Amino acid sequence: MTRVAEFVAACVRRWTRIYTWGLPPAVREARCQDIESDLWESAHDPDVTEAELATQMVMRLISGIADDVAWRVAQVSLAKSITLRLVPAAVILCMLLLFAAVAPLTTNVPDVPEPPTGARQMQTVIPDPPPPPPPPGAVTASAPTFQYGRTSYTVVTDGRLPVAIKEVQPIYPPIAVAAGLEGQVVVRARINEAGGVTDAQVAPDGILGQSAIQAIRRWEFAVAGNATLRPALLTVRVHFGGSQ
Amino acid sequence: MRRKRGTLVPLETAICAAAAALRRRGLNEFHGYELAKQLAHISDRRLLTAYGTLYRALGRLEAMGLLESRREDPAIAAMENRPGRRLYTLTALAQSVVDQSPPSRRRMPVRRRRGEAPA
Repeated sequence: MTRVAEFVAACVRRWTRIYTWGLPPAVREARCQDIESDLWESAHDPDVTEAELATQMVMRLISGIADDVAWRVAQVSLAKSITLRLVPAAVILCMLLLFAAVAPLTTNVPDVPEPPTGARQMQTVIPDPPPPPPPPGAVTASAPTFQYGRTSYTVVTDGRLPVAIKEVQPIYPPIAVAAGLEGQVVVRARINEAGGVTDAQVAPDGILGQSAIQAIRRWEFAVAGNATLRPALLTVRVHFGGSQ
Repeated sequence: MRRKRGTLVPLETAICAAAAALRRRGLNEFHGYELAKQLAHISDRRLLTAYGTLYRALGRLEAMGLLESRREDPAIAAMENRPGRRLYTLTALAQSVVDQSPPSRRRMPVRRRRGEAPA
């Protein structure tokens, strides 16, 4: 390649860098590679003489400038339209995440005492029997007391069995107690790789079901040792009433 | 140049015809410079299509589904000590239209991708 042709090729490369400036890196690199390949092929084309080469490159550069600019404008418009679509979606997603994070804090569920934690090796966990009722005439505490649903859960996994390291007990809503509402609800959910409870669904739904699902969403699981927690299916049966 | 929806501008038609001619010569895949040379050969010109004009049109045809492209295996380019090529292929859709249409300006079915700006 003559020095003139080399100079023209450098101008083509520089112009390509200019009109692709600020575009997404993948788009910019793709165009630069296309031009680089074209320059190499033309420089090694046996049908083109040294004198023709520089002329060809100059003419191809100059006559294509308008199309280069139009291409850039189209790319910028495309990027803008993608951004305009993505921004509202991102805002909505952020609002949903914020709502999901704040919602458990704004509910009227008071803090419940943490249940005793410990590694349970059984797949189905049945709770301890409820404490015996206080003897008649015993002095009751002045602080408000709540009744809780009794839980038992089953975990199905193809990995190491996770155990609950945090079990928030479902509150037996006072209004349900007052109304004499009793029964069992079943919560089905997934345990994710972080040990959290996701995708919880309850049946039957209602005041007892909502209480159960709010508590079980706050459960946390872990596996013993250094094993990795694999996603698992969780079924929790919550019994409200009866021998509370 | 403003186009009627669903039609190709003469350069795009010429590119499809050139690609079909390359395929008849046994070149199922071709790079941009090969296509530029074939275009000049068909139109009996010495001057090749401009860089900007050629690659912009190739991008439009790809967006319409008339061409497909892939990056060449970098190992091949490295072995031959040259920049990697983008290799284009004429799709079956474009080939069928080129085969059936007269050599005048062709009306071709256009499959536009979402967000693709009109030419």
